[in-house]
Amino acid sequence: MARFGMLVDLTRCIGCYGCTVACQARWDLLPQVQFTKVHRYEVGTFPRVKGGVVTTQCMHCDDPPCARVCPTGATRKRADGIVVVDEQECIGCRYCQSACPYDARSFNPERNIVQKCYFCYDFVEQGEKPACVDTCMAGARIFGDLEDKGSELSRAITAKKAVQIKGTSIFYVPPRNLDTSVLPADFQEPGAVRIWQDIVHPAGKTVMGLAAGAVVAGLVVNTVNKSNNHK
Amino acid sequence: MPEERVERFNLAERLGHWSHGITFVVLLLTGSALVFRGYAGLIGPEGLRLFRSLHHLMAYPFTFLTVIILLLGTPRTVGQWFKECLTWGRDDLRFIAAFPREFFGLKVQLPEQGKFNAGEKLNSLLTIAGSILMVVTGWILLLRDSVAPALVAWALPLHSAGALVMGGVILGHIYLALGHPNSRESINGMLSGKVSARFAREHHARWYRELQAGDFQGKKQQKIA
Repeated sequence: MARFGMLVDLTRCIGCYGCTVACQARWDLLPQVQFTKVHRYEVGTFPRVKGGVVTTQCMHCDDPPCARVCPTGATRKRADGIVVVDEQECIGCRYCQSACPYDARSFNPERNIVQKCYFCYDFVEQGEKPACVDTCMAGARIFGDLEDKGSELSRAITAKKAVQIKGTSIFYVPPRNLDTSVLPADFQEPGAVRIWQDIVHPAGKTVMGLAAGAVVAGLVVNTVNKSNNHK
Repeated sequence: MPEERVERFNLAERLGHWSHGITFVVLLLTGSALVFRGYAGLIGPEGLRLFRSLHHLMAYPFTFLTVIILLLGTPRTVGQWFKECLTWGRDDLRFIAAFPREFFGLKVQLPEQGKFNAGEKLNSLLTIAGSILMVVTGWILLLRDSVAPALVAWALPLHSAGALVMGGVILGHIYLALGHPNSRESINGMLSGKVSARFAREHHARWYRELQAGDFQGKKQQKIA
């Protein structure tokens, strides 16, 4: 089984927004909704200032918190590593938006659903490339199978000494002469999600269960007492 | 001869209780489906969208209706209720310590109580604090586009935690009001507003004495006038 990933070579990216626009056209997105975003940054103080661009998108995390919090299971990680949203099943509760550590999800107010980068899974299934990769005039984006050591992606990762954002399927070639602090952080599940899912929900179910158990026990004891009193 | 009855809750108190209770139960049932996947799976996306609308709709009466009914309808008794809930004596602590035996139908001597016993006071305080928590976190979630994302992220676990603790409390509350042989007469106080003098004497002796004294005082004043 393939495990899909993507490399963004920031030494080649010129910040043209081609990926953003191609993606919007491909998925027929609202103007304000962008699955792939281009951020400009500056570091240093004048006159020694350097600048550049970083693109961000859904990182297709190994253990995506957005899928953990989704009440309907609309968001799920497929066997091939692509995190998808079943738009028919999404009820627009937006829990996933709060859970995403990369702010990579967009709410569509017209359809009342949450959307994000799908790695163009339907193109990929037909052997084509995602729209952002296909359109990138600088050739800064490479998509492929991480499991296949011979794939263009795997070879580029080695050759370009790409940095993996740990816990995700995204690799970057860092911008020239700059450290990796401008890249998205390694994956970390947000504390609020961990507390919500791992502590509050099991503890809450236990509290409700204990209360229900106490009520049943009370009913049983009182019924037994009553029949004893009658005797 | 008909049994002597005393008034325990006036109409506004009863309406306030039921507006809060009914909206809370609907919110709990619809809200649980919105977070537990097993429950959500039973209902399906269409049902869940309906539950979500219902959940949002109920936020309005839950937030405003009870407060409006109580403050416009019976501000004086609300003040007394607050005061009593915040006044704790040794008898109250002894009542709480002994109450689990009573809950499970075991023999126990409970200390004398006022209009609200210590359990009812604790339930009131939990309900007030819990409802404020639910209202604040709930409105943060409803108005999520106007508040900081971190606030929304933390409102989710707090909203769930408050709901599930209050859900546990309400199970015990319903059992004591409907199923417990010693306390189930208390439901009459919330339905007709009246309970038997015997119940008032046995369960709220201090309040019953105050009622009697008040009656006596009232009659005496009438005579003087």
